[in-house]
Formats: sequence, C-alpha cells, structure tokens
Amino acid sequence: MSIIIPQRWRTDVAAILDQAQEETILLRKRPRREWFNLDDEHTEFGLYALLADELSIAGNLYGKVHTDMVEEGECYSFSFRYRPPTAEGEIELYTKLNLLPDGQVVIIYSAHT
Amino acid sequence: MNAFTQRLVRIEVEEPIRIPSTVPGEKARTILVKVPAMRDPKDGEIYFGVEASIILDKAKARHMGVLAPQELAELRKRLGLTQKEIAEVLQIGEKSWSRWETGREIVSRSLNLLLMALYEGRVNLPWLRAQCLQDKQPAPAPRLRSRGFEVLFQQGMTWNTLTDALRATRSAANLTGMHHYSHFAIYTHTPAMPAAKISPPPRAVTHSQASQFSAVKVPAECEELCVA
Repeated sequence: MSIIIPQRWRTDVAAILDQAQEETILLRKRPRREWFNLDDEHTEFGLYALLADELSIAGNLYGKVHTDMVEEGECYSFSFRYRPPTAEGEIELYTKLNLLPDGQVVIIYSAHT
Repeated sequence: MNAFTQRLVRIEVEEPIRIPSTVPGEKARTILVKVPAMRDPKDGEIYFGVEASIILDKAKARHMGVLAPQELAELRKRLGLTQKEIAEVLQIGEKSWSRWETGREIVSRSLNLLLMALYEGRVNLPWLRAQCLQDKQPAPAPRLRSRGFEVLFQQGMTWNTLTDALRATRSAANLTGMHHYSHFAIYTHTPAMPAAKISPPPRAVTHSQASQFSAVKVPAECEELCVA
C-alpha cells in the first residue's frame, strides 16, 4: 500500500546523500551495478545527488514502508521519473533506502528500473 | 554507532566501471578498479562507501579524459571562487557548474579542455578573467603607430571611417591612374582586427592587396601592416 513518506525522513536522508560524507552512505553491490548499466555516463555521486534531489522535491512523495529488513532502521521505497544523461526519454527508477537508527547512515538497497 | 555498521568487515574488491567511447557508435569498454568495500558476515552482502565512490568516479573521469567532480571542487577552491564566480568566469550557467561539481553530470567535454589547462596551471585565473572582460566590452580600436593616424584618431576618426578613407583614397588613385604611397603602420594586437585569411601574415601589403584591405582579416601575430 502506498503511503506518504515522512518529511522528516526525507529531509534527513536527502541531507546525507547531498553531503556524501565518508562513512555515511552504504551502497550495495547490486544497485551500484544496476545504476551503471542504465547509462554509460552515470557516476556514483550522480546517483546520490539524484536521490537527494528527488527527496527534496516540493510536495508529497509516495512510496512503501519496509519493516521486514534485516538491517535495523527506517526503510522506504519509491519510484520516480528520470532522464539518464545519454537517453532520449525518461525512465522510471525504483529505489529503496534505509536510514539507520543513529540517523547518520543511509543504505541504498535498490536503484533500478 | 549502529550494530549493523559495527559488524561489517573491511575488504577490497575489483569493481567494473564502464568507460563510454567518444566515437559515435562505438561501445563502452569496461575496466576493473580495486576499491575498498565492506562485507556483512551475516549474509555476505557487499557494500561500498563514499571512499569507493570517489575512487570509482575518479577512475572513470581519468579514463574519459575529463576532470572528476572532486577535482572540479578542488580547482574552484584553489582559485578561491564560489560556484557563481567560476560560472561567470567560464561564461556558463551556475547550475551547469553545480551539476558537474556534485557529480550529477559529467563535465562538458568541450569546456573540459580549458578546465584541464586551469587545473594543471597552464592557464591562470587573471588570463581567464581578462578574456571574460574582453568578451563583455566593445572591441577597442586598433593601436596605431603612425603619427598621421594618431592625429586622425584624435580628430575623432573611427576604425570604420579610417578604412572608408583608405578605400576612398585608393579609388581616387585608381581613377587618376596614380599609386597612392601614403604609408601607414598599424598595430594589430586587438580583437578589433578580425582573424586572418593571409598566410603567412604580411609585413607589408602591395597596392593590389591593399585594395582588399577592408575585407582582409589580419591575424593577431601580424605586428605591422603597411598600406601603400
């Protein structure tokens, strides 16, 4: 069921992704490779910035809450439209992010179409 | 600290990165780069941190021949400029610079040449600022050496009226069947003098060449042009 992702969570996660300080982001191997397979001009910082931008958009962001993750924390997934650098059209990107309990670390579980 | 991050074990892995080709139609090549990573002993999942992202993005940029986002930020800070200021100097939008510096987009390949020259110290900020100012200001009149021209300019003659006068003089000389031998020396170090079609740049032009004078564009390295 789709819910409105809490603004507080969005703000915290967007700030971490935007600043991209060491030891604050954990990107799983699979989403890293999937992100790079989407466009040859993709960069890792490009993914962080894109997710930060999407979380910072005005208005509600709809997604799903995940309470069954092995890792503790507050986890949401959502989809959004995005145009890769060399693509002619937009794609729908799905992502799943977890903010760990200390509020300092974000895990990126998914970043694919 | 989180229980999860505490249990992660530091390892080193080889990760593939795709290097796009600049040749249209040619496929991207894949290279392997060693990066630090973390493994969760509980399920074997591998995670990459920001440290690995910096290494991988830099490796990609290096193989593409462009500056990495961190190098762009380093360059800007070294020059002591804000994002707005460097965008002004480079005559690009502030948003473009921001997108490159944050890694949202790979830097424009055409501008990358200039940025590389700046980064490697082959071009400096005063020079770049001078170019920027030159583009914003109207082109200055050519600096003339001949006393005759100095007088004419003091009397309010402009570059256009000068060339008109030369044309008129030539026409009159042609009509009367006489050569006009007034010698004028013109320094051509200013952008008001257009780019050249003459190669090698002439030290002096003949009367017949002078007839094309208004159409001829003189190169910056041509120090002196004598119109006979």
